[in-house]
Amino acid sequence: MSDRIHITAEPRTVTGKKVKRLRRVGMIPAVIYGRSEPIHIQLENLALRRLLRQAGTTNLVDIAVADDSRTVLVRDVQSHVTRGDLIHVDFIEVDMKVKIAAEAELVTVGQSAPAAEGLGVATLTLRSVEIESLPDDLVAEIEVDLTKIETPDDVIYARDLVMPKGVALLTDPETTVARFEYEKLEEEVVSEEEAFVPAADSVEVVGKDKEEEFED
Amino acid sequence: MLMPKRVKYRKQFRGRMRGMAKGGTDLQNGEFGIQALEPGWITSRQIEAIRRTIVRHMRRRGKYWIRIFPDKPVTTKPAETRMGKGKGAVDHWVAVVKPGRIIFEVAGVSEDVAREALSLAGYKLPIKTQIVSREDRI
Repeated sequence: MSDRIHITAEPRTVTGKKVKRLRRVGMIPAVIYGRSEPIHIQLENLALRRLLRQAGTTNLVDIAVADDSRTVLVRDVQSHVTRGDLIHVDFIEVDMKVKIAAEAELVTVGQSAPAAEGLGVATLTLRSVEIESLPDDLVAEIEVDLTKIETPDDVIYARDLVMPKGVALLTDPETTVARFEYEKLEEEVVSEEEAFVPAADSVEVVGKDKEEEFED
Repeated sequence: MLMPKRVKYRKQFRGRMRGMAKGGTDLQNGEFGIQALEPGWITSRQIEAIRRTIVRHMRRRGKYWIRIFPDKPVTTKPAETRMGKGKGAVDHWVAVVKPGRIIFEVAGVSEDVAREALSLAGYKLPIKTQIVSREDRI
C-alpha cells in the first residue's frame, strides 16, 4: 500500500520553447494526462525534486491545481544528461478502480551460496520488472532472494519472484532475473591482457574482393 | 584491444562532435559508471588502459561493462612524407564520445572500491568525466 503525497501546482499557459524562461525562475513544466483532457502545469523545482525522490514511479501523488485535485503517478521524468537538472515531468492520472501497469525496481536480498564461498558474484541481469495492479497496491521494489542460487548453475527467473498480494507480473516469466558468474582466474586475466593485438589496418572490408575484381 | 572484425569502408572522414549524446546516457547493468562530460575520441588503447585499471583495482571481484566501441578508423601518413598521394593508412581505432555518454559500468563491489576504480580510470581518458550511480538519478 502506498501513502499519498500532496503537492500544489500552478496551471501553465507558457508552452513550447518559452518554457526555458520558467526553468530560469525555478519552475519546472509538467503535464497531467490520462483520464480527462491533458493539462499543462508548472511546479516549484525543489518541491518537485523532493516529490520525485519520495514518490518514485509507483507512489500515488495528489496534485492540487487551482481548485481541482488529481490523483496521479509519475510516468516520465526528463532531465539533463550530465547535470541532472529537471527539464519536464509527465504525470498520469489514475482511476482507483482500474488496474495500471508500472515498473518496479528489483532489489537483491541475501547472498548466494557460491558467492559466500568466494567463487564469484551473483548479479541481477534485469533491473526492473513490469507489474500490474490497482493504483493503491503498487509497490516500488520487488525483492530477489539470492539465497535461491545454491549452485553456480542456478538461475533465478521472473517466475520465481514473490509478488505482493494484488500485484501481477507482466514481464515474461521466463526472463532471467539473476545469475551467478565465476570470478575470472588469474591466468585468464593475464592471457587476456597479453592477447595478440592485430594491426589496425588488418580489418576485413565487406565486398572488397568484388570491388577489386570490378576495377580490374 | 577492441576493433571491428569487418567494416563496409576502410577509411572515414573525421566528422563533427556537436551536441550531447543521444543514447547510452543511463546506467544499464552496473551500480556505478563513468560518464563523459566533454566530446572526444577514445582510442582502443585508452579503453584497454581503463579496463586494466578497473580490473586491477577491483581485484577481479565484481563485474564490468564497456559501453563504447571503437568503430571509427583513424588514418595517419608516414613520417617525413610529402603531402598528397592519397589518404594515409589506418593507424588506430577510436570511439566517438559525446557529453553524457556512459563509458564504463561496474557492479558487485562496494561503493568505495567502485568509485576509486572509476576515478583512477578517469585519469586515463583524454576528456573530463564524472562518476554516476543509480542513486543519484533524480
